[in-house]
Amino acid sequence: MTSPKDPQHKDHAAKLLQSVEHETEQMVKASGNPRGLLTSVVAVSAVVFTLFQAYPPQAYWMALLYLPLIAWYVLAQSSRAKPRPLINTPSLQTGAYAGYFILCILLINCLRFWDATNIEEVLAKIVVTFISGMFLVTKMQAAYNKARVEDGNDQVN
Amino acid sequence: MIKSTSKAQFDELIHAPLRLRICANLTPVEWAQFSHLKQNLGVADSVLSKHLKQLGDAGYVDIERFTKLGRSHVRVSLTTAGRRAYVGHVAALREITAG
Repeated sequence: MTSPKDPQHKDHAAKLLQSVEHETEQMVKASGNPRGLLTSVVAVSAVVFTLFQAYPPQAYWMALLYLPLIAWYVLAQSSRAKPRPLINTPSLQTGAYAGYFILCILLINCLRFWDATNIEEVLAKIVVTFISGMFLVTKMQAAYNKARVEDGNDQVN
Repeated sequence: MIKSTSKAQFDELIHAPLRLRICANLTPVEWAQFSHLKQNLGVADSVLSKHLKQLGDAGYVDIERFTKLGRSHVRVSLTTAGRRAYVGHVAALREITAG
């Protein structure tokens, strides 16, 4: 077995640390929400958000699109490992996660100024909302996963 | 990187590659099902059981059996002692690489 005191085993320790991070990342991804669910939530939100603004109140029934997503979420959670609540979250509060969250709020507010009146504009707004929303949500998810890996490997309680 | 909350402490039991991988898999979750863990690690039932027993005997993991919809499941979680030992071991590995 590798002796921890021997400096020549630095490389071995570095490899072990890499493997630890990789394994933790794998479990973080496996215990998180499925990628398809995240994409669907952003797609439905882009459609609902745009149509609510373009055709109120006829488009309010579109909120029903969230029902199958809720069912999907519940089913996905039942067979997954239960994520541990984050204990020490400085990287969430001050890091990339918080920055992308603020950008998300800014994006929503900016898109409210875009008054889509015809079908082409409505479609364009849905596409822009989806693409920009997907970009920000993916970045937020990556920052959250990173915080979970750090929390898992560094926090005891 | 956030500061480790456990003192660097090399742990021979955790240092074995598969047991280190088991702990690394359990650390971001409250619990994971045996089947899920086995799938992530890509090992046989008997191999995983053997290493979990060793970790369990040391008080590092908690193994709970339960029945859900008529099917039996096994849920594995790191205990506080196991988490402390794992975080301390990771901190010790970092010290080795830094030193």
